[in-house]
Amino acid sequence: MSRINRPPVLPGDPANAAQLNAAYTDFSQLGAVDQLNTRDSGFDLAHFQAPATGNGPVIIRSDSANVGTGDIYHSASPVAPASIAAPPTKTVVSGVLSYGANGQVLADGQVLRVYYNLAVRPKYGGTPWDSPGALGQYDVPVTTGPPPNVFISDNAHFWLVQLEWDITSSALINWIPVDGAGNFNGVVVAGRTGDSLQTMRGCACVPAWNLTYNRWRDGEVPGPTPSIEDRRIGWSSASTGYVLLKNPLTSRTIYGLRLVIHGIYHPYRDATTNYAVLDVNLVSGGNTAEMEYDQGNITAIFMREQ
Amino acid sequence: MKRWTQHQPRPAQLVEAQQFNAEMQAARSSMASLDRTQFPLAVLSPATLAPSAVARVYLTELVNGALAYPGQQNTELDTATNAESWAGATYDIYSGGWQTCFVTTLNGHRGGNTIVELIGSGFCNGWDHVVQPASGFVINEKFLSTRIRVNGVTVAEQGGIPHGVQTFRLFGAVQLPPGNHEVAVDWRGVGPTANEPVREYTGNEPILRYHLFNMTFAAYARFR
Repeated sequence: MSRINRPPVLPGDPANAAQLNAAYTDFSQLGAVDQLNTRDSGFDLAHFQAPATGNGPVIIRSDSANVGTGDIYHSASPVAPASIAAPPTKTVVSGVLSYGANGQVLADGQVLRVYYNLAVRPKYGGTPWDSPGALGQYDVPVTTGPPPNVFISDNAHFWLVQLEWDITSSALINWIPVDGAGNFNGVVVAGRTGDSLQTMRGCACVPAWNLTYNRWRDGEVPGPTPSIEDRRIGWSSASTGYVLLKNPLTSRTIYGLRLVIHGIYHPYRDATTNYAVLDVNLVSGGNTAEMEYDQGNITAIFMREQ
Repeated sequence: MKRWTQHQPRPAQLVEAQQFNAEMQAARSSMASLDRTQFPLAVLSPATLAPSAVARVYLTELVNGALAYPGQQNTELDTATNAESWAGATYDIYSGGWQTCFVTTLNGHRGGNTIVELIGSGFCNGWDHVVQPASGFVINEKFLSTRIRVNGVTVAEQGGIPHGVQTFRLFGAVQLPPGNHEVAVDWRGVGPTANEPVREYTGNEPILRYHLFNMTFAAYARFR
């Protein structure tokens, strides 16, 4: 029970010395200011203005950083190359969202929300989807031959823009994928390198190309020499979000966030699992593949779960 | 030290009498309660805040679920596709229409504005996007849609992925009364016409048309 039981001063009351002194005497009692006196609605701005205690009413901390070139005109865009061998070549996008020397702790009952975007444009020369050994080559029938069938890519090749963090030190030299994401460096199925689809958190996928045949008819394409329609993909945004609830994961001190680009990946599967595997056979015989990128942004919010 | 509650003086600001009167009244009323700087900071902790929280985050990390294909669509999964593909929706088994990926419940909601958000990736193989009215062929665009329903009412919906493997983020806001609220996430691919190739010519394996994966659902409730 509260030890301060004097009636409150009401509007219109005289503010005389005795009344004020009595109020201050109440507050000076040992232990008078305790949880019973202050809980729930007794809290005020001073408490909520203390981010170090993690007591923000909703948002504990919010930060944003520009990454990439900062060039919105695509005048001199850097390029991420397609990997021609495993493990994948990872191109680091310049710019880091840094939390300084002490980092930021994701504590019990807290949620980390990260949203990022990056301007990207997949590019290619020749027909990399037709390179020997390339994955996803489907053959479909032709109405009049020869040939009786033609090949077309299944359009499932894609680049990855991946979110990484440093949870080791403020030196920002120990970058690893965020919780729930793999590094795509290991062999996962049939001698192929990649990761399963359930370990891709924080990854944004960008389609590598978009092909079709014109005038499909009855499941066939018009012959005798159908031409593939190559719809070029222009500049777009690799954009996604990453939401992490600390519980039940172990505590994380986050020192920085950044983006890397790697690819090109393609679907693969076994009896129980779907994978994204690196297709290393696309760049050959004069066929090329790369991805341009420009400006982007990473925004991260630490907030209480409730 | 006391803090101004309103009318905080700024450099080069015009002074008006009311700003002092208002502050005097605020100071006088604070005599009956504790001055805000008298509270020790440690008296407030996340644990004491939770019972009277003004907000709550609901998070469903679908990739950690116990589903056969965690974080993926888990309906209309054709496992007869070839190895260079995914177990996903083919026209062999799926002919269009809304399917429900998963259902979750926002428990202990106290009523108020709620933002719902679905983050994920999907695949639409993009064949037959022909747009040539003069050719006499049917315009038949394919895309993979998703939507979020709260208590059966669609809150957010997108036309969706038109081609290739792409990442999306779908979000919307809804006012909810206190109670438990059921959320459903649905997907829909455009169905086939008579002109689609359904199976590969040589291998006779069904061709993958749509697939959803890497999905996370979150709701951010701001209570009244």
